[in-house]
Amino acid sequence: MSGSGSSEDESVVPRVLRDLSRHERTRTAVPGAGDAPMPEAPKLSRFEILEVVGQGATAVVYRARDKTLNRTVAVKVLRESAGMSDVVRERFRREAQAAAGLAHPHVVTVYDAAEEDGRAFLVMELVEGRPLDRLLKDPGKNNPVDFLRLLEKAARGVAAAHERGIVHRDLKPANILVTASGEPKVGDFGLAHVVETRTELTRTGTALGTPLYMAPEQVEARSGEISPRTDVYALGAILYEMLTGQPPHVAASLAELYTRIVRQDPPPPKGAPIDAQTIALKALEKEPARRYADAREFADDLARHLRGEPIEARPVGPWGRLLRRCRRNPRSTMIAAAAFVILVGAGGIGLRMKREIDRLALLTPDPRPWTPVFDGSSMDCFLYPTAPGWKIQKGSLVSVVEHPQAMQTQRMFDDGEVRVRFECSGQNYMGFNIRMTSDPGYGVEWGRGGVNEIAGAEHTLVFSLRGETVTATLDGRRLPVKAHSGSRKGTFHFSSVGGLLRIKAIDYRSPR
Amino acid sequence: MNSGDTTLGGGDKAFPETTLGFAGGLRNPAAADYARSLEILCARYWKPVYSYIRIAWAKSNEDAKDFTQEFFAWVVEEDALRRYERERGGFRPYLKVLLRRFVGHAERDRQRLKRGGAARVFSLDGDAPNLPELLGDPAGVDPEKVFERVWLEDLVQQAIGRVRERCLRSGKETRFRLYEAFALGSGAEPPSYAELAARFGVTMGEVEKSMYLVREEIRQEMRAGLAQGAGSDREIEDEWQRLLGG
Repeated sequence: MSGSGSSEDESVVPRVLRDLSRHERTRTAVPGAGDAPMPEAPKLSRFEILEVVGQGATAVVYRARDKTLNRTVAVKVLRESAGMSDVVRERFRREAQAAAGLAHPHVVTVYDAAEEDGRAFLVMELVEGRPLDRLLKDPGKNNPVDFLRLLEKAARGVAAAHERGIVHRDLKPANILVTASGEPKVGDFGLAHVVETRTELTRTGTALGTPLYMAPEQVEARSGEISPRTDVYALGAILYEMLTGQPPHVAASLAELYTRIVRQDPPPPKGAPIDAQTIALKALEKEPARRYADAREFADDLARHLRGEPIEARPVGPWGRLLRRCRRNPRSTMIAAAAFVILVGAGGIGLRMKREIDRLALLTPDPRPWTPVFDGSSMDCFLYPTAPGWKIQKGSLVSVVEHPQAMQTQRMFDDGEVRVRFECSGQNYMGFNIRMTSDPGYGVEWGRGGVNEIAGAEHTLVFSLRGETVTATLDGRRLPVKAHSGSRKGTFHFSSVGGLLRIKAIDYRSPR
Repeated sequence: MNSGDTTLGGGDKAFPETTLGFAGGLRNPAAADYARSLEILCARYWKPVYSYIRIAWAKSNEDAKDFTQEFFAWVVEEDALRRYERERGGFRPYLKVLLRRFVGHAERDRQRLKRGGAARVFSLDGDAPNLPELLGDPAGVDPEKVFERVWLEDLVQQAIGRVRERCLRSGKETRFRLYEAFALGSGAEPPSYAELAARFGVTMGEVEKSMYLVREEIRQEMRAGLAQGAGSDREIEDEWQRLLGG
């Protein structure tokens, strides 16, 4: 088919796109996706099927009316229930048993399980709300603390399951529904597993679960090690995503993703509060025994952090991380050891220490005064095309501004600090890049929903350059700095997408 | 804790590596992934570039192939990709700007390339799209629209091709054939799931599941294709919604 360009192909693209468009609207549990076609709605005597609210590989969820009790419910019908294997049928039945025994405000209530006309289905509480994954992408009025509170409550729901010996095994943001009143409900105990009962379901050793939030023991199908700590890992992965905007491990292929989950530590969620980082990293430990024992412990520590109390988890130092990495990768340990010796020989350690000292020095509050470079009060400096004096280069998605006055900064910026005070609203992406007379330039950026937390009020970005040491802080928090060689030398760029950015002032001060 | 204490929702995150795509690798010819990035560039954009050139210059098939090759050679020689900044927008709009510039200075560039031997630096084994059939009446057609159309055609076809290959290789031929019969057939109306179940001798549940899984795979392939030329997650999402008519 590829590239044949036949007349038959001509109609394929729009047809495929229409088909995918319908698929898109129902591929996750999204209440209100009622305009999507119903995939062969089942006929169930007690229920009137109203619309599809979500679908996955193994089941379709419908909004339905219980004709006997005259209430609206969610009915989850197994796709292959007509010809499903005994293993799947057993899993489904077990889900019903496990979930039906759970009564918790943060767990989706299961009312009943039944089979009719050869189709097995679950009857559940219909939760009117949004899945957490969508909420994370589009946070609306939710602030960062709201999300941590949501996760704490969701973890309480999971803890209730753990107390009954039930492990969810497929926790992910899409499985946490958030009601209109902001209460989370953990649903889809579709892979629930009764810990005490060893059944065919677990003996197969099949790797079940969602890869992005999957614990190492799931990836390696070590079924004997599946425990509440497996769910703790997933909760940690969700927390990590809340702190950084992406799951702890991302890769181009499934094989690479699995390797990273098993072998690599996730990068520390820099910029987040230290305690939140510590909680996430403890939950994401490779060895289950090093994680919180269950969701309750995780929720308790998160609650301590939210109350501003000391948490119980302790951060792992660099030596601890190194030891664990060596344990996981014994072969590469020898190579690393050899490299270490060479580094010591070349004085590399000393150099690194000096850089670290420089970096820390730059982070220390500094009383020295700033010299104004640009005063935004004398000139409107918005990111839109009518702003006077600003050269606007409009791309399809990004506007970039360059201003002669801002460009002056480069002359005194080969070493020193530049402070930018700004306000912004509505951006989905924003970046600041600076490039001096020499290569490379440096940039910092925010992505997706992250900018929402800095919308509105005035914020301060500080770039500090000293020799090869470059740091950036936003409102005193460290930001990762990237080499940025794309922009013209001697320019200071502000980029944003779809919103308004106002530069209020730019100041400079010389190196210490 | 105040809201400024955290970066919830992505505050400090670097863009996921998938969104950097190949475009980042094209900015530095000395980088290890430069050759691989060029390879992806050619595989992904050869047909759209060819179509653009053929329409813009009304060249014959063979001439257009030569010019397409020269375009890629020019891009490399001029180091034009080094100036691409993902902060300023997607890679595809940038490539179209380069195409406009290339076509605008065609003769001069062509002579220069010929003096330099017009070295064939890429192995381009893709079939040329059959433009008359894609375009209907080529007269007065906007080459940029053709570029977009051929790009989209290629994105979809490559995604379907890869999913089909995977299904066949892993012994799941029926799964793909079900989808093919439903979504890729030539009939005005797709067959019902019940008809497909009867035709292939499978249960309705198997039809539903096959449809879901193949659609998911095609979706993933297409989004991976978008990610290669996108500047951010947001851009991928916007492009995706635009393709789906959202």
